[in-house]
Amino acid sequence: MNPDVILRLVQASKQYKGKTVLNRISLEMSRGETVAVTGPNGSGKSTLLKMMAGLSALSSGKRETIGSGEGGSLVIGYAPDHLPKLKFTAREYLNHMGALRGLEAATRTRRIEELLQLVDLRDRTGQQMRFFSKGMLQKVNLVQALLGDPELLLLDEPIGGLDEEAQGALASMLLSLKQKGTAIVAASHEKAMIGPWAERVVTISEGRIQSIAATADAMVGKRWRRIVCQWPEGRGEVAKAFASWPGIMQYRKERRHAVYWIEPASSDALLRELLEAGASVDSVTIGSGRMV
Amino acid sequence: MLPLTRYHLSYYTRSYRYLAPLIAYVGFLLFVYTISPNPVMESYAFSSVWLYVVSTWIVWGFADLEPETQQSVTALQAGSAVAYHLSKLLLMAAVGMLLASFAVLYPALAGKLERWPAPEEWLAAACFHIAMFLLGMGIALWFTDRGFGRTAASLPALIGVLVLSLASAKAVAPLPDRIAFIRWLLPPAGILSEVLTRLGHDKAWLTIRAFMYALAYAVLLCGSFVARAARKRF
Repeated sequence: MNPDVILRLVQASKQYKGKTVLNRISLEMSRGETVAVTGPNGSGKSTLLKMMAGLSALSSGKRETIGSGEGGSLVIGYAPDHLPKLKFTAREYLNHMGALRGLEAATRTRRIEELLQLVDLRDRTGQQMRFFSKGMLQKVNLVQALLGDPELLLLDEPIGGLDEEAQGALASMLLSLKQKGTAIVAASHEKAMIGPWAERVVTISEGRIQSIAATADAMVGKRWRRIVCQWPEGRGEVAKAFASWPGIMQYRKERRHAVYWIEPASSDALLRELLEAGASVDSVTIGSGRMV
Repeated sequence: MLPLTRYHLSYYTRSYRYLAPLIAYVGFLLFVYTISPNPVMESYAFSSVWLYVVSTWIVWGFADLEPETQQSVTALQAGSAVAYHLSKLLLMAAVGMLLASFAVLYPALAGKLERWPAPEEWLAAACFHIAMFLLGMGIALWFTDRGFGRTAASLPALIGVLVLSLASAKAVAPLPDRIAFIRWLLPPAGILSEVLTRLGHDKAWLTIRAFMYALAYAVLLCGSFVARAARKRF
């Protein structure tokens, strides 16, 4: 595994009650990498995040992690879509979550106060979370995910319920976490969420990755190889599966052609695999910056 | 494990889900013991059966109490799905110990029994009450979301299993002798109650065998539930 890679899903699938929720997903996350997952409601975004968190058992495929936690475990922070309204105050709840993380009492009190200040939670003394607004709950949700200083932060619909001011604060927080080296995956059906912090955008639909594309900001000065190839009739699914090949920066279907943009270091391996899988390579172009 | 158990306890006490079964349990025992004196082992056999019924009520109400979204957050923070489920069971077992203590101590200390129990009667009463609670817990778990799933049929099915296990002697009576052993395949609540009533009349090893069998049965039910729930994850 590449030393920077902290999580890898290989051909991971999830079936639930006879229905395929996720189908042969391959995805890698590197240290400090930021990814936005988009797609319509019910496309499998939440399940993908749970799978990445290790909270959802795979029906097939593999999940590999390497981190700096105890015994090489990956420290993951997970904020689900909508935290339930609980009969705890925010501080009581976060104190419990911090204790579960194994944080010492003094450390967790300090960390909770720091994070609550950061998200600007304006609750009343003794106010239980069941009386919180959606936005307030979302702030507590973000704080609990950040309590353990995660190496990988997974956020499901993180802007749900947040006002514009709070959305701005969230975007700055994500940027500062990214600078600190935290890998971040945020799933949202709102394109606005992609913002300036995401390096890659994974589009998912009907349980499959439809495209993986680098954002314009992330591409400045980046070198790539553009491979154009043709697939025999009826191999559309195989062509799409290559979109999640390690190192792929972008994938697009152009009439009869499949176009892959890939990091130079991985291009030879991809070429070999494409040819072995039956594709006919039309051209390979070298470039940098915007992928055209 | 301790922070997890503390969290579950805090969650449970704030839900007030314990209130109805606790009032029913204590209230019914207090009511029953308004008439005294009572025979020692028959009284304990009766209260152990009542604890068995109440334990399923308590565990069935507690197991799925935390919303599913929060369950996944709690388990991730704790770092283990097994620890998550195990800590819930430990909390329930602790509750069971308290309820068992009440059932064993109250009638003796309040002078509701016809005589002061002998040491072996104390021991057997305590062990059998705990075994009954664990057995009820093991059964109830399988009728929750993480067991067979919670549907409209779950509660009637759970009540059916309780009745069948308590009335197992009558249920197998019409069956031919060669298949009467199936009584031992049912949760041995009825067997425990009978053995406790006959304490001192049966050989000691028969009492120990019944207790060990019930304990093993309960551990198997709880253990396989935790393994399944942890494998399914969230």
